Amino acid sequence: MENLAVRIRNLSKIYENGGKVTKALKNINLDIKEGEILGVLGPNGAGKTTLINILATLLIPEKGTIDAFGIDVLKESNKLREIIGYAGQDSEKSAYYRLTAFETLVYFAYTFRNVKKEDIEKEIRYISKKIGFSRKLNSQFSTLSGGEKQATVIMRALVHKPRLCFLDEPSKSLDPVTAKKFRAFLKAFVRKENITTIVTTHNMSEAEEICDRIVLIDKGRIKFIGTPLEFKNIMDYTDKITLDMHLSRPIISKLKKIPSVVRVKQTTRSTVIYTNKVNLSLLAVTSILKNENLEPKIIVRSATVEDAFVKVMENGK
Amino acid sequence: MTLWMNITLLKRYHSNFIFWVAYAIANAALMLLFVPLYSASISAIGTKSIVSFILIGASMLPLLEETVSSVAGDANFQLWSGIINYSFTTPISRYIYFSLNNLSEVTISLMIYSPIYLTAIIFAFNYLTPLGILLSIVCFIIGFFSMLQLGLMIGAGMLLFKRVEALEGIVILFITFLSGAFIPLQVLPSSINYAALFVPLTSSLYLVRYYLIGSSLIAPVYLMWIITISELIVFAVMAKFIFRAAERKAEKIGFNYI
Repeated sequence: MENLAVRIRNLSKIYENGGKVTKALKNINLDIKEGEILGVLGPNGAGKTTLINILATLLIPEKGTIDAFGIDVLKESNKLREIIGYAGQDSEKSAYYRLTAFETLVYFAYTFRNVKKEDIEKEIRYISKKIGFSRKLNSQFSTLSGGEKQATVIMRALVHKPRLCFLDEPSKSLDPVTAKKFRAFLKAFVRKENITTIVTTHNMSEAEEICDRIVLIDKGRIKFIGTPLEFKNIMDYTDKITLDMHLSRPIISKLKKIPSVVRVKQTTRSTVIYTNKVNLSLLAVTSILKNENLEPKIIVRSATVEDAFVKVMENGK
Repeated sequence: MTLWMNITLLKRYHSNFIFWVAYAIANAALMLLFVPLYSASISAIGTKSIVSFILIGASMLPLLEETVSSVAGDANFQLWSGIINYSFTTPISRYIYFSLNNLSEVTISLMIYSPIYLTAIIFAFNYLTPLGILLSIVCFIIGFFSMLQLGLMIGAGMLLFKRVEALEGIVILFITFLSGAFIPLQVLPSSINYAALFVPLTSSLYLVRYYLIGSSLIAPVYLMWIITISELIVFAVMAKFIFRAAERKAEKIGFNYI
């Protein structure tokens, strides 16, 4: 059996602001396995950041218990801070702006016990090289771009090799190339160092690419926990076949009769066929189109986590 | 750690560092010019060196005012910038983090004010004794830690009440006028002397002068010691309590609401 890193039970958090009460988290129960990357998904205001901030000891809940590596997070927060890394959302102003990126990383790493200067400097250079940040290491934090600041903040969370790492929308300000490098690095690094990582993101392809499991939160409640594949399986189709053509009703009727087709949707310029056996459906669709002397452009795309997310959110409304 | 950061920044901005040193030297020089004019009016206070008397007060006052105000300034900056989320997720106790940050800034200020201290020591040189130096250092350290606790209380106030600059101003005003740093308390009415005894810095500053240059005290020496030590204990307990209250509030509502 895999070791459990974090065990959350009946966690509830309420915010009171100007007489207005907001239930940010409602009775959350969650187990996080050691070494896994857990993606926390959800719409804005769902409670993702609140959950991370409670785990990172920045907030205290009204109710519930959290155990992380045998540490009672709510009672022994000082002890927990020895083993965590944290990267928040707002990276723009989140470091002493006159220090360089390198100095920022060294400064915060020094707050951890048993951190050796040589080791940390070596680690900073290694990570920055991996994510393509080396040439900016000696630039002052205030002169860095948004993405570079974000990269510094992410490195700060990882450089001391924590046992438990929280990354709140880590690739938010990263350009696509850096984001890709970052994802590849993150996955390899946390595997190698066995770092249990909790990532919140709105980027569904990122969740699909790096997360071992995902948890979907909406209005403070957990809607789904499982692997990205299991998440996609909540949908009644596995693939979408898109034709760049509006079809007549008789043809649509024929398409709907294909056994593996779940449904067919039409827009003014295209037709989308949802299927759970893409190869069989594709053969049948092309055969029908050939008989009708039609040659539309055909695009086949697998269902994504984003599709599943949209479905769950729409069903919840 | 925080000292490392502050020294790194100090070294980076050479021109600012030169201005600081120039400021300290100019300060000492102006004090020396000012002393003959001032000394006539305070000649009755009983001290072996009026120059040192004034210089000690003139240098301890801004230094310890900075001790009070820098924690609040740091708390304010961290809240504004969001760094507080990062400093509060480090393993260092939050109370210690602010204290260390403050200590590092004051250590640098000590270096900056060193020309003034040196001048004070030169003028007091004939009267210095090893025991006097030792006891004055002890009194200075106790005074410093009392002021630090006061600073932590104001810093925590920043977390509790969002803006507390006015309170900081009041505290510094009282310290400036009633600590005896500039205006010797001996020349003021005795009722004010009693009130001034409970102003942070007064007792420790008077003890520093007493042990270094034999200045007269405004109360028996044992009472000055009791007040100095009691202030430290009371302020430390209060600071810890208020800081914890601020921390709990921040953890309850989230730093983005502060």
